[in-house]
Amino acid sequence: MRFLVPLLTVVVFLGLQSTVASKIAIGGIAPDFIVVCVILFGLQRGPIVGSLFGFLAGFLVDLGNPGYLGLNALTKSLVGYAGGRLGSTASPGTVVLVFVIFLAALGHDIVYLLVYQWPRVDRAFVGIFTNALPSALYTALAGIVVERLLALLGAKVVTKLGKERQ
Amino acid sequence: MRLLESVFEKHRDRTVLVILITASFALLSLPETRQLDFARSLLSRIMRPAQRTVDLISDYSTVRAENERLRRMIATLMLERGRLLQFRDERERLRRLAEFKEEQTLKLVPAEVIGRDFDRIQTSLVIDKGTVDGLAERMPVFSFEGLVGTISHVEEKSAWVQLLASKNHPVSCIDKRTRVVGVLEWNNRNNFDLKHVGVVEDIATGDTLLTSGFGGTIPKGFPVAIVQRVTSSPDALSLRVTARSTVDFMALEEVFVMTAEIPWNRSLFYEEADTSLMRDVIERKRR
Repeated sequence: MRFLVPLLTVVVFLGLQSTVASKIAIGGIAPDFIVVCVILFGLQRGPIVGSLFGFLAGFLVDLGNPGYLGLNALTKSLVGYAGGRLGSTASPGTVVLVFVIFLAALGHDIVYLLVYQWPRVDRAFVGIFTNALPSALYTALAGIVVERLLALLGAKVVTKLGKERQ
Repeated sequence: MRLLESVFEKHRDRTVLVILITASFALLSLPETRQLDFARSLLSRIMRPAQRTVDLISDYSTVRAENERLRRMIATLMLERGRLLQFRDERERLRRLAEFKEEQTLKLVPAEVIGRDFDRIQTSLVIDKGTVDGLAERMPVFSFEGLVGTISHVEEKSAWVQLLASKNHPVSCIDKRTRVVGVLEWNNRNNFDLKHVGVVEDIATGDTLLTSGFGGTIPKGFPVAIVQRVTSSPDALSLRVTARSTVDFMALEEVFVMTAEIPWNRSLFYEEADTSLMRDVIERKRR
């Protein structure tokens, strides 16, 4: 059960990403539900589980697009770790949570683009401004919707857990 | 060792992160072919059931809508079929009253082109069907675009097709629009001349020429060529009509040999296959 829940969560969010994300994309910019999932998991469970969960989720994403196997595993482990660290220091409310998801998504995309485009850093910077920034904003908004929906479904999500962890 | 243990105890989260980052870079540094092999083998084992479930969920709404559309289509087709059956019977009755010849449908044998003329001007080709498949000399050969030629020689498992694009293969044709009749003779490449067309006849550029059915070898109504130019001939009694074949004789790969004609109201696809399909549909509805 301990391992089944994270695995099922990843599968559900992968399904969400592959079916819903492309349909709600605006001008080719789609939210990254996997980042939302990893950051929420990190905030909830702390840096170790967060980074492990991020690695697992990223690895599964990489399997679907194996040209850069390990790239999503790397970026999402970092997101999970960062989420875990933030979750242990703060109890985020909605506004803070938007900001946290935005930063996580942006950081994720920056690392992703830098490694992906290496050594063409100029191209990575163009990608950050044209793609990563609007995508991070969209991800943050989608993240709040997901978090609210999970809360409505009775899941113990971030806002409570910050307190629990303190 | 103790030092490592104490570091791990003190910075457990960072140690895990470092291990994960190292693992990620190790994966990234794999050669691309090995990455692909590794990913494919893992995907097929782990992700396939999950992907199928996701596909099933995402396909559900599409399938539902499609099902609805198909049901409507079946209902329309069944009604239309009922009306067509009535029309068929009525038409047959009237045709019998008028003493028309019974209309035929075709039995086509598909064949693959396996050889061509060695000559630069190709006038014939070899197909992979022969007497064992029911082929005989003078049987007409078609492609999706129209008439190709006739069988000139048959062996057990192969046959020679004399193309329309050859000097000694004239075909009687009829103008689709005005029903003007003429004899189509090959000129060069894909170009033909329609002979014996009187100067008073109505024939124009762009008209489609169909097989006339005269002579009884080639059935009526198959496209052969499209009229390219119409001018008056020097004798001022007939028209000079040039036409271009609808078939690209140089690019033929598959053809169909017409081995027999079956009365259309007794054809298999009408009577048996169609009826069994309808029976299936009705039985499924009942279930």
